[in-house]
Amino acid sequence: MNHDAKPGAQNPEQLIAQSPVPSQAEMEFRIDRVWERLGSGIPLQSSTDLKGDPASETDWHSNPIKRPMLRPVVILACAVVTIAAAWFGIARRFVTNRNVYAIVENEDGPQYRVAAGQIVATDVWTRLAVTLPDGSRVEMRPQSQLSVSTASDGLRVRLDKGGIIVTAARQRSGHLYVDTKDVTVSVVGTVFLVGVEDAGSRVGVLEGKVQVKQGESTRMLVPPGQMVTNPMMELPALREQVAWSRYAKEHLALLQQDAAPIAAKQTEKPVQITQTQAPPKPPAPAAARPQFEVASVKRNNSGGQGMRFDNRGGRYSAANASLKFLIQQAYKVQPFQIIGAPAWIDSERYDIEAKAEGAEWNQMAPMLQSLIEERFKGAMHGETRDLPVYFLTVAKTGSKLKAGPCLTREPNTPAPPNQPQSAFCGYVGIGSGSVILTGQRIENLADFLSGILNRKVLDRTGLPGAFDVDLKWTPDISTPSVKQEAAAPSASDGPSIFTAIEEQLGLKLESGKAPIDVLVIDHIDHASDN
Amino acid sequence: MSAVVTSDSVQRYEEIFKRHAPLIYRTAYGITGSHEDAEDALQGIFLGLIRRDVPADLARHPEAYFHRAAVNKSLNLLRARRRRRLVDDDAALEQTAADDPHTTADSELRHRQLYDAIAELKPDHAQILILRYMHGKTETEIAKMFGVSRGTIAVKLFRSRARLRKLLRARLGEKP
Repeated sequence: MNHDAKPGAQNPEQLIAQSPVPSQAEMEFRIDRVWERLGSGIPLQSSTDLKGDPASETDWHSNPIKRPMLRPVVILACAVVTIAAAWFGIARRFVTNRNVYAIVENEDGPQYRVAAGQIVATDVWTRLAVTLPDGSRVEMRPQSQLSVSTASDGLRVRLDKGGIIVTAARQRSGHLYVDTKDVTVSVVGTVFLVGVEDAGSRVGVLEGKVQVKQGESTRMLVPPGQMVTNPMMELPALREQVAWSRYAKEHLALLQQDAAPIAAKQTEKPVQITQTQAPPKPPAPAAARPQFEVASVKRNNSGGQGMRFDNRGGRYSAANASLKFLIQQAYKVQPFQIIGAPAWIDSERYDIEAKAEGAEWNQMAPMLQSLIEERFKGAMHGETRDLPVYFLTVAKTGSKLKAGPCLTREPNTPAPPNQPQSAFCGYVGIGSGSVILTGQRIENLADFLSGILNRKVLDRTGLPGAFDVDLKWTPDISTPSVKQEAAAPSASDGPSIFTAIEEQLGLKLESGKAPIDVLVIDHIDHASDN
Repeated sequence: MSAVVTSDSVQRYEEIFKRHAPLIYRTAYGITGSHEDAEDALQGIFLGLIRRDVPADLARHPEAYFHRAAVNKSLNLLRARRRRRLVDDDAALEQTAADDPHTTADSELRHRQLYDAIAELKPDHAQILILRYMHGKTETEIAKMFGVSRGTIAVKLFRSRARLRKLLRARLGEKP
């Protein structure tokens, strides 16, 4: 709000033009938060109410909830187009398409059927399987979108975004085609996967063979071959690309069969997936994992908000802890990395008392995993997903971070007198709307910000070495991580954390997307008292 | 949201939210000058969509509908805030002025006076002014959004500017 004159002295239009503009990063952060709050209230509609392309502006026109009145001109235009289509034989195919139905299933079995041309889409939490009229099964990973129609000699799946694994039924006389924006894959009976990204498409084969047509060129793919339409795209191992599937074991078994005889001829290009952080440890079988000697789990119905926990002296003690907090500790993940969990894991509170004589905290985390799997019937797996992130970059003003001298001291030795704690390297001081870091690498600052913003912050500053950070901002009491600070008084007109980072550190948060390792909760249950 | 059978409806709702939320947020923040109010406006508009059938004017032109909703919601928030100010206005202003007497208080006061005046305009006049001068839309673009001729928009803009100047002068005690 940088106005330079009184209202009367300026044109009102100039004043309106000078209205405050939110920073992109902060706006996206708050929009995401509103979306999270809205999440629980989205209406449950019949799938038949949802025909049409969700990305289309005209989508509302086809919504039967309230259809705007069609103007005579539009009706006339439709009639002309229909007659013309019939003349060229298009209408006949459209009529045929209406008889094609695919069955959409989730883990609970068949849910509904979709007609030709109708969009099937999955959100970030959902995997679906679509059974085609010929018996082929199309598994959809989260955030995918497809439609099914007839082809002149079979069926055609149009994949608009996301990824699918197709287990094609043996075709009697026709073909099954999968179209993306830049390739057409045709098969007669096989298992293969197709993915669509902004940069292009990818195709991989697990069994049988497929023909891939890109523009004028055609090539055959056999297991465990895969290709991308854009050489800039990464080519992760096939086994990683099928990990999300309900039938991952079957797919992996196919890959292992293929691997032995063909390995010498055709190798799966080993490309490393970009690791943005330490991945959540894949849960090992509970029997092989260390367990607490004795553990007690009790519901805490006090209604209090504060949590306490202690892991010293060979004991693990948590009071009034949410299950989400326990999962965070056990699997070393942040809240935004936990996917697919029911809401109650954040609200239901437990008291845990467990004993593991002589165990350090690092040894207790797997024990806590065992406890969650046994008492809460927890089942979970790790995945990598494209999620919204913030990139920490250097602002236009340049970095204001300074690397001051800091004191080092041996572990378990008392601090010298008259020396503040913040003078020692590695110091972390966190208050309500403030953080002081001494002699810390920039990655540590990014991790700290991840906790505050509830979204992964990735360091893109390229700043080497260790720095001192003294950051102060006005905590937003509606930010989940600072709810506990709500009682603390704060100036309502202080800088937000986005502004503070830019002004005080010369850094900037820019929103984007990146592959993030997440912990997917497949099943979790309420624990019963001992 | 967890019901898989409705994943396509959720997806569709999310697409619409993600596409139009920035416009709503920018409009609401520009008017209210407050992130909290902008969040409230955005949430209120989409909660309204959940609780009732899709309005016909949303079907005709989503961008126009959401812009109109954002302006109306934000001005309502300002009106509510103005009613509260009748109680503690002086203390709040003194506090603001004490923080940064040369910038914060002046700019907030100007912003408040401007939008208090805009809140007194006819709703469609306020909407057109904000589209034209906050979002930089051309008269032709606005006409397309509202489904009227460019001339109609030009006339409304002229009248709303004149009315706004008058209201601002009255607030400042200036002679016309």
